[in-house]
Amino acid sequence: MEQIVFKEDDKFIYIFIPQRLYSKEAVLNCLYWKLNELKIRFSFYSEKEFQVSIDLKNLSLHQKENLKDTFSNDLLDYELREIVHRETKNIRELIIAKAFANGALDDL
Amino acid sequence: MSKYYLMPFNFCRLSNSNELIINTIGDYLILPNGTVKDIIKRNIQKKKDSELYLDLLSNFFISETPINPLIDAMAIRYRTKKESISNFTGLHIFAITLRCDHKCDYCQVSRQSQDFKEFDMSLEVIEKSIDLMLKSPNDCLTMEFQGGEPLLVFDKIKQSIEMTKLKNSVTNKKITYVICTNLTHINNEILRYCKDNSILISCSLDGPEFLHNYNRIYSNNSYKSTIAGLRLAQQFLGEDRISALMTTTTKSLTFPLEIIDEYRKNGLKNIFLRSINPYGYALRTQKNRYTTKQFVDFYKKALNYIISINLRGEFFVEDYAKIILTKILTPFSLNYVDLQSPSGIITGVVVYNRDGNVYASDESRMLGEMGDGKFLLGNVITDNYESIFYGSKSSMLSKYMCNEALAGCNRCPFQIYCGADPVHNYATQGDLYGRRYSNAFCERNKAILTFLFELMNQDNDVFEIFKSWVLN
Amino acid sequence: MIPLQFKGTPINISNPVVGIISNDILKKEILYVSSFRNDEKIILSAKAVSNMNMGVFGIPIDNLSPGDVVVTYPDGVVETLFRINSEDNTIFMTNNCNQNCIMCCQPPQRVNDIKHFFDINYTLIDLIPLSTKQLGISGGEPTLCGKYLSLLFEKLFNRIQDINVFILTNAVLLSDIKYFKHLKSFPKDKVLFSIPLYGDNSYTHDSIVRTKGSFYKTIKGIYNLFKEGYRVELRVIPQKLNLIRLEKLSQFIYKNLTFVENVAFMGLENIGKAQTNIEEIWISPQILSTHLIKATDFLRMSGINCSLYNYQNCILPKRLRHLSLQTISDWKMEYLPECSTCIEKNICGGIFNSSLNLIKQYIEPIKDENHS
Repeated sequence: MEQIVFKEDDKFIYIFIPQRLYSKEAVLNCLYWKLNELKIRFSFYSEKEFQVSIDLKNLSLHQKENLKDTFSNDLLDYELREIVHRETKNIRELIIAKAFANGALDDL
Repeated sequence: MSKYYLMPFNFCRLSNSNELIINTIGDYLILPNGTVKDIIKRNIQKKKDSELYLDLLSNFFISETPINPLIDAMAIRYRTKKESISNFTGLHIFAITLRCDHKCDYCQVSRQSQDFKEFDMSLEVIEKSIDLMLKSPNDCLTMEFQGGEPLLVFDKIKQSIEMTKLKNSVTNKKITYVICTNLTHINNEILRYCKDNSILISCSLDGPEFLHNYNRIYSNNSYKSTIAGLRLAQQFLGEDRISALMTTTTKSLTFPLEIIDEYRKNGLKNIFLRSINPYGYALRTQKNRYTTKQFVDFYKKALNYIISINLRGEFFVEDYAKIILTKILTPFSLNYVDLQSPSGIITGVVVYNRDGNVYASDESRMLGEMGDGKFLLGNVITDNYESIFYGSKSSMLSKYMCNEALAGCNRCPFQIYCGADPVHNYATQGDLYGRRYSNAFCERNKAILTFLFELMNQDNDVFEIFKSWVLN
Repeated sequence: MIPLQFKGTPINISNPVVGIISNDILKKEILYVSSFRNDEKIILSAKAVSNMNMGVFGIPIDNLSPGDVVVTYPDGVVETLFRINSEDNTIFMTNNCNQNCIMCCQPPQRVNDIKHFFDINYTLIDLIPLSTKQLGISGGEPTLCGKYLSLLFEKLFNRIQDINVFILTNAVLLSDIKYFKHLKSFPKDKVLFSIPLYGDNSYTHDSIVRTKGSFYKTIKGIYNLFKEGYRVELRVIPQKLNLIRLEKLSQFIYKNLTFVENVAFMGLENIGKAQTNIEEIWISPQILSTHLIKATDFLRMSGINCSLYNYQNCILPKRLRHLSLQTISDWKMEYLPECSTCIEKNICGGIFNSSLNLIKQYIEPIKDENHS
């Protein structure tokens, strides 16, 4: 399964996210900002997929359509942020350590 | 595919199909949609995307070696951004009395009628507070008198300043004095003392008369006495020694242009468009509850108007924008305590209450007066500097003071320009950590930051105006 | 153009002699070169004279003044090291350089000359007037002289405490903090390090200095100087290879090198490598002006001093002229005949005599306020 899949019943929207393409951190960071408007559950559906369940109660049609439209792009943005974070974690720590080391780390 | 290494940065999308990338030391670039993905996938090539490649290199978004050869320069830049914290507490607010002659709707103080002298700071508390203030490692201090209405106890202000001058002959700090007043009790004798001691005056002017008086209730006409006091002070001390603040109430939201024109009319060259803190006494009435979106709409209208004034040749600055733009366009840090990470509470400001209680910030004191001592650090009579500034309360609070370590902030591109406000979080959401997705501080700052970047990007003339506000 | 080097016929000069020029009140046709080494004076003259025990004839002595310091070589070459009537005196440290700039006007040579020039300069310092206000240190690359630089400075500041020195260096060797032991004798407030920076990134800068790794080392050197408390100014030479990023260079300087005292944008001198490579580097004044305006506007707005060196007032847009300084050394500066009608001639820096042909077509005397 290589893409995000949406399913729906009368209670919830289900979003299945392939773990091969998206990290847990990216999914959580993406969902974080939706907690204001949505009631969300997050779990491991299988070894290969995350499952996100969103409560349909109190969700307007407009909100539902908007969610489906933007979710994939949103998630992709958060995955990109995770990639940058992972690749730059060490250099970031080094910059900050040097900033406050008062010269003690100048040889690194 | 190119071989380069990424430097730490975050990004967001601007409304006009652009991506805004901002790195860990505050450099930014605005790029066409899809560029971030190309950067990460190593699709940017020196040969075919030469100028972009060089921009990314020069602005510390990519590096050709695993450790950027200019990493020490980056460390100095980062250090410079955080410089205000290494100076530690600079702003010391003395709530010298709770007595006041006004009854402003949004007042953060449990004001008392002007007759009750037991609500003034005692000599003992004054002296002990000054001793604490002078223990700060910061070489430059601001001693700010607030109240109630401080001029009701002008003699105590004089006493405090004289005592400070005497004690400072040993510590030798550069001290700036500020009095926050509604100006109804200003007179020549007070102004003479202000002039002799280079005291700055900060007053409240909410807008034109009908609006000002609607918010700030005074037995006479608050607006008239404020303006009269303002004129007198400007003549005596010079226009640059007086500043005015406004507080945005629900009624203010309808009159952005009128408020700005009122400022211009009175010889003021800048305005700070402040939103009300949506907690504490301000929520006493329905009158002052409005949404962040309502405030942001008001702010945008006001700022657009101010920009148009500047484009016609008149220099007039919006202070909040100026603070943010200074962080964006210059390598320097600022002493504005509400937008710092680590947070400006304690590290940038403390408040000495008239009962000797020491609080982490202005808003902290209000919560204290309402019975919640969450941010009470100690008392000048019973506690010493170490236990107040470095004690268990401070330690506990410090865990929530860095936005680098808060959910929601940790992947936000504006992180380096923004701050952490645990007091706000606690007061509006019930916990120090806060929930960014429904946090008014976050929503407001993100909206204003995005707005400023979009303005700069869309119109070069506006960009030049902004530069003229902050570059030197 | 004032010549600084002469060749004549030597009589009895066995070693290079550094000495101070004096004249003979009675004999106007000769000058003396006195060093403190020996009492005997070397004689300089245009024509051969009798009784010349030690001297050089065939020298146009009108170009020398009493108080000037010269070095006379065994082969009859006489070089002016210090001119009493000039404020542009520079000490030459070495022909060696660790870079290879595309527009270098003093092309480097690999030759073992550091001790040679040190000996000359060490003596020179004793001979310059105590009232000397300013001295430049140049080359090649002065920092290649290591301890000799230190010894010279020590002597100089011992002798003349109030003198101001500027040192033209690429700061590459200063990227190693260990080098700073050679700078110990430099009084920090009296020495200005004048460092070229040609771009905001390694590609632009290194393509001009044609030495890989230079950009990063130069920046590191500048930072080391800043951290150790030394004064720094930057020199930028706008040319084809860095013109479009000129404003971005200003922004880079503002954000990362905010502490520099001044940024000087300098006109090309059409000599040496610049002359050889002129096709690859030359830009016309009109094109230059657009980018120069943006670059200087940004710096001035940010509160960083900037100035224009070696440009002529008539080729600069009106609003930039007040930044232009008269910096072309008098001995290589000239005006064109048409300059005599220009109303700004006395505040204009003139033209490099080497660049006359190149710039001639653009020169137009300023007749009134509406020019450009």
